[in-house]
Amino acid sequence: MVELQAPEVHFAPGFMRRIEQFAPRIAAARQRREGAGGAELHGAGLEFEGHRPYRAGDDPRLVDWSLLARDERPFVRILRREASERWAIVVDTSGSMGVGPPGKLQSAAEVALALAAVGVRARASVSLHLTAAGSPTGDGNAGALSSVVMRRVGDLAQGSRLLSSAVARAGADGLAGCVARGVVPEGAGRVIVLGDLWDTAPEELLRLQRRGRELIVGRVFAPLEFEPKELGAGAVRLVDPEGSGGLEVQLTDSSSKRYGQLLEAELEGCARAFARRRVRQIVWRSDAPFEDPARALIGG
Amino acid sequence: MTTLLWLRPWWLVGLVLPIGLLVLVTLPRRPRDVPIGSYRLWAGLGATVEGGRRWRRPDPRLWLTVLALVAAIFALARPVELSEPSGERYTVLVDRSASMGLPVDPSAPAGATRHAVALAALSAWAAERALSLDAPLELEWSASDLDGPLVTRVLPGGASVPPAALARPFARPFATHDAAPPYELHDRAGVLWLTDRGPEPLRATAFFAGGAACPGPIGEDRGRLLVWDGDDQVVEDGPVPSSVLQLDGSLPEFLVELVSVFAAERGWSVRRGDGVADETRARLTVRGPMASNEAPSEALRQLSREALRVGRDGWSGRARDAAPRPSNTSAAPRGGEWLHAEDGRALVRYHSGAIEVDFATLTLAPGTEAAAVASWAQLFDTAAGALPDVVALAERRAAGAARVVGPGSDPTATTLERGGGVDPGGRLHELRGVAREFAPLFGALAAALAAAAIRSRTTSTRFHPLPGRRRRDGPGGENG
Repeated sequence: MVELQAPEVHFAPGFMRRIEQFAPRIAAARQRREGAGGAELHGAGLEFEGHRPYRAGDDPRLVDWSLLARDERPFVRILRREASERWAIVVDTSGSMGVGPPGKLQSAAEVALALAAVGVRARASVSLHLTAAGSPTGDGNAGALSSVVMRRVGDLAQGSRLLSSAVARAGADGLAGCVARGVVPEGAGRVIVLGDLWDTAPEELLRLQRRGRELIVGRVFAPLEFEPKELGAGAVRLVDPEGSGGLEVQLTDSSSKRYGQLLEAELEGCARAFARRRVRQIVWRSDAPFEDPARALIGG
Repeated sequence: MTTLLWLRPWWLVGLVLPIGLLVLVTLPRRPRDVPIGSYRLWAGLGATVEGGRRWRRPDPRLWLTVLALVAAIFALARPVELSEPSGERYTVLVDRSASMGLPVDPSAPAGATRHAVALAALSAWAAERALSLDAPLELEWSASDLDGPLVTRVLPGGASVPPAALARPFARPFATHDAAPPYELHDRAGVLWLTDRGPEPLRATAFFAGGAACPGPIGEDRGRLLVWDGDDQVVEDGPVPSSVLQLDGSLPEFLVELVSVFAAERGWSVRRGDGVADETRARLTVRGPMASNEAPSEALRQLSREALRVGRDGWSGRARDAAPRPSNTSAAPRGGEWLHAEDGRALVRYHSGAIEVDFATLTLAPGTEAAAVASWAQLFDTAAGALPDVVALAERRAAGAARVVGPGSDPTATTLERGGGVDPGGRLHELRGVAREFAPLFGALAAALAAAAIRSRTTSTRFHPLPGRRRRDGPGGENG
C-alpha cells in the first residue's frame, strides 16, 4: 500500500476570503473580455448587447450583415451570456494527485473552488465533479458524493464540502475513467479538467471536446516532479502512487538532466496534441498560490 | 614523555554517540520511498538511474557535528596531560623507630599504631589536596629501611586515598635501633614528616601521631628483662633467650677482644663461625673482610705502605686500597654506614644483626681507650638490636596529641616543591578551565549543527504554504 504524502484537502482559514476577493475581479474581467467577443460557448441563449467594429479573428457568424449592407462597414454583434451558461469542473482524485508536498489534490481543489466562484458570479451553472467519490462529508449527508451543482454564490459551501471530502487514492478512478463514464454533462459549454494527467493520454481527454464547448486542461505537478533535486541526493526508491511498483534510483546530475529532458518532451507532446484541437493546457506547481493558475485557466 | 589522563573517563562512553551517528548516517540503508506521479518517466530512464546501495557520503555539517560532540565529550572527560615529574611532589619522611609501632592507646594493644594514625592524617590531607589538583599528587617516601626510591601517586579529582594503600610499602616491622630520621636535614619546603613526635618544623609539615605512654619492656641485662611500668623501671627475671655473638673472617685482634668483653658483659656467648653453618641464629655477627675464602695472611700481605689510615673515637686503622667487599654483603639489607674511607668506601657497615668490617688493623691512641670501647659497644648494641617487644624507654613515653604542624598547617602554603612538569596553577589549569567552560558550547554547537542538518533535509521537500505567494517556476503557463 503506497503511503501518499498529501492525499487530503484542507482549506485553510481565510481561504474563502481570498476566494471572495479573487472571484469578483476575475468575473468582471472575463465579462469585459467575453462580452467584447470571442466567446462562442454552448448555452441556453445569448443576449444582444450592441455592436462594435469587426476585428480580424471575430466569428463571421457574428457579423451583422444588415448593418454591413447599410453602412458598408462590418460590425459584429456584442452578445451577453445568459444565466443559463453551464460549466463543468472535473477534479482528478487518482493516487498520483496525493503526491506532494504541497499536495496536488489540495492545489487542484483550491483552483477548482476559485473557478466555481468565478462561474457562479458570471451567472453560470457550475457542476463540480470528483473522478472518485470522496469520504463522507460529515454534515449529515451519510453518503459519499462525487459531484455538486452550484448556481449561486451561496452554493459554494457545497462545493467546498465536496472538495474537502476528496481523497487521493491509489486505484481510484482517474480522468480517463471519468470521461468514459460520461460524467461531464453534455450541455456544458465550458469544461475544465484539473489533474496531473500522468495516467491519462491527451486523446482520452479530447473526447470531451465538442463544437461550441471550451475545454481547458489544468495540469498540476508537485515540485519534486518538476525538480528532481527536490528529492535530495543519493539513493531513493521512487514509488508509483497508483501502486504499480517501485524503482530504486541513484540521483545524480546526469539522471536529473535526463529526467528533465523527458519531462519537457512529455509536456510539449501534450501541448501540441491539445493545441491542435484548440484546447488550452495550463501547467503549474502545487506550491503556486491558487490565484495564478485560476487566472490563467479562466483567462481573467 | 607525557601521558594523557582522563579524570572522568566514564564520559568517554559517550563517544558511541558521535560514532554511532556517523555509522548510522553513512551506512547503506534501504532508500526511503517517495511516491511520485512522474514514476512513468523515471521508469523510462531505466538503467541510467538504477543503482545499488552505496555508502553515503556524510554531509560536511555532519562531520562538524561529530567533531563538536567528540570535543564536548573529551572536555567533559577532563583530560589531563601528565609529564614527568608531575605537578606536585612531596617527600614523606617516615619515622621508622620502634615507637611508631606502639599502639596509640595502650589499653587497646591491637588498636591503631602511631604509624597508622599519622598515615591516616596524611591520607586525609592527600585526598583533600588532590581535589584541587589537575595532576596527580606524588608522595615520595623516605625511610631508613627503604631499599630504593618509592613513589605513591594520588590521582586528582578527589579519588579517595585509603591509608592502607599508603601503608603498603611499610609492612616490615619497625626498626629497633635508631631509625628516627634526621629531621633537621629535612626541614624544608615540600617535606612531610610522618612521626609520633619530633622537633617543631620550621618549613616542613609534620603529621604527629602522638600517643599515650606505653609501659613495657625497655631493655635487658644479663638475662634479665627491664620493664617500665609507666613510672619506674622494674627489673624482671627472664625468660630471656640466650644470645650468640658470632665472629666471621679476619678481624683486628683488639676488635676480637672488644667483642669478647662486650659479650661477657651482656651475658652472650661468642663463637667463631668461619665457613660454618649456624646451628643457632646469631643475634650479632661481626664479619671481617675475608669471611668466605680469603686467608688472613694473604689479606695482610696486601696491605701496602700507602694503605688508607682510618679511624674515629680514639682509634685508628689501616684499610686496603680498593679492598674487596665481603662476598655476602651485596645481598645484605640496607643499614647504616658507621665508617667511610676518603674514597667513599664503607669500611664499617651495620644492619640488623650484623656488622661488616673492611680493615685489617686497629690501633688505640694512648688515653682514648674508653672512648674507643664505648664507641664500638654502642655500635654492637645498635646492630644487635633489642629483643622482641623491647622498646627503649624514650620511645615508650607519651608523645602528646595527634596534630599537624607546619606553616599554617597547610603544606601547600609555602612548601610546594614542584617538579618540572605541569604547573597546576598555570597554563594547563587555564586550558582545563576553558575546556570545561566550552563543553556546553561544544554540545550546543553539535545540537545546532544537527538541527541545521535536519532542517536542511526537510527544506529540500518543504514548500511555501498556499497562503504565501511564490512565483511559479519551471514549466508553466498556457500549453506548457
